[in-house]
Amino acid sequence: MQKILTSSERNAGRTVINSLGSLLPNVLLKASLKFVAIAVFFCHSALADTLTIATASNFRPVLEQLSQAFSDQTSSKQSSYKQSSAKQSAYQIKISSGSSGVLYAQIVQGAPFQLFFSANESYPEKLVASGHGEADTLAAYAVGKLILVSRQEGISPEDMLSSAKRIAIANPRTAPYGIAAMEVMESLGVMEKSQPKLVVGNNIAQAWQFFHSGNADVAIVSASLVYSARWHEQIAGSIPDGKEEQQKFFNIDLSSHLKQPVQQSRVAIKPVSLLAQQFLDFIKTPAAQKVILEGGYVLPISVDTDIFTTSPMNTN
Amino acid sequence: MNLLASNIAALWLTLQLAAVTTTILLIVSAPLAWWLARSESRFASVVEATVALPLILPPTVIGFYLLIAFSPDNFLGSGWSALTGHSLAFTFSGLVVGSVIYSLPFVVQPLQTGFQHFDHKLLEAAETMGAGTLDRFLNLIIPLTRRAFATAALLGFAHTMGEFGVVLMIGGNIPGETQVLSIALYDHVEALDYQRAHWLAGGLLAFSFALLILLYGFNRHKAMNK
Repeated sequence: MQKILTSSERNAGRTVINSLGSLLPNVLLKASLKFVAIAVFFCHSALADTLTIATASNFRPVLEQLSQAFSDQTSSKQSSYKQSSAKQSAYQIKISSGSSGVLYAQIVQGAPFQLFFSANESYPEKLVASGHGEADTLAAYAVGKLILVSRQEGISPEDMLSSAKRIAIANPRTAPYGIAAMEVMESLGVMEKSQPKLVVGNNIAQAWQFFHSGNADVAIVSASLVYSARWHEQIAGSIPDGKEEQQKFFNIDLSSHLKQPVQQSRVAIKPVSLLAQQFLDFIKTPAAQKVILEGGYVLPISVDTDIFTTSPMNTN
Repeated sequence: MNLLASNIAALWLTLQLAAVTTTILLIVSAPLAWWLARSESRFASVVEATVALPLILPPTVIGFYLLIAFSPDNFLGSGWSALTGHSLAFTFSGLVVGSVIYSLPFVVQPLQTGFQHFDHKLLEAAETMGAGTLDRFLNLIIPLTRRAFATAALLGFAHTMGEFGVVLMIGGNIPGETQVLSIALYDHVEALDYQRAHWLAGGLLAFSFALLILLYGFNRHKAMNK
């Protein structure tokens, strides 16, 4: 893996070189620059083991909570083993989010991700087929719920979509929830009316932003996204947490109109690091499963047989 | 075939956007640049800084704020829809608004430089001979600063052609309405449709290069003949 130096690292390197400049001939100068670069690289990797995760936008907030819980758990384990050291975890988790198709393409092009949480099944499957993904780690981790959000109440989704001025969805070419949204409009029989009013977000988060900013009156997104938007607002303090939550947005669950549920799979990218494996093991624990459930998902069959009992939606 | 048609639609839309934006920018920027070139007001530097902001702001910042401003809940959005019956977000008009802001410094700054080098004694002379303001502008300033105008128009046009971030944030990726070349290309790449992406990227590269050669050649020829 190529290490790219940050400008401050490069400058630091140069300062050292400059101060030596008068003593060293030019050839040595170049060699020593390389040495500094290598030294900086090793210092860096010795400091922190890094777990890089690529995730579909819809799963990001849940994944952030999961990685927090994972860090807490492992660091508490560590401190009980050896009391003195390891006040902070010896690794960091970096999360990149985007539309699954884009992340898939990046991984194929050699992006340095260790885990990939897709919004569908096919991209992780393709990664295994192409040799990028480790077959043993391929599994479903969540089943997404597709919802329609609007500012009106008590109208059927068909009427809502027909009367809307702008309908925001994720890009059906790259985002599984975009495909699901198209499928629902098809099965509701409102495709012809809806098509000219579609505004396409680059991913599901942008579709939500189009709606949230008031520029689209209806959006078809994942339940998890609405959950996470509220979660962020709660953190920011704009929802005075608790009972008095303003009824700004209304949700209708559209999952029943889908022929196929939005089954989301994940896979580890080769070579699988120990940290990546530990994280995947952690995802299967009941504590982690609870976080996923609360994040607006249903658990997949392989983990939980209760897939058909949809958990109560209380995202308003 | 769909492949060609959608790319041509994107090209045509981009050219339209660049042309409309450049026209508006030239009209708006000329008096602004003139004022900036001559003003000794303290506010001039504030205005100058404001004009230059899009140079350093990431386009995503502009796009983010524009989307909020376009919302029907806000002054700009509600005012526009009261006037025209349409919303600004996800429309060609909205892209024009975004592009005008985004490319403003690229048109104002060359004009300002041109005006600063303009010999003001000529204006006074024309005034004493009874030429009105518009007359002086059209028949004296424009001909004498035409290279500044050409540079401003070229830069404004080219910069709008290459616009991406703002359109991504406020466009909604609608073919024929807001899906400009850069967005269509991005869309093809994200969908792993590299064949179409190649056509578009290569075409845009060749087109831009040809345009620049034409204009620089023209400029050089003019300069030689002077």
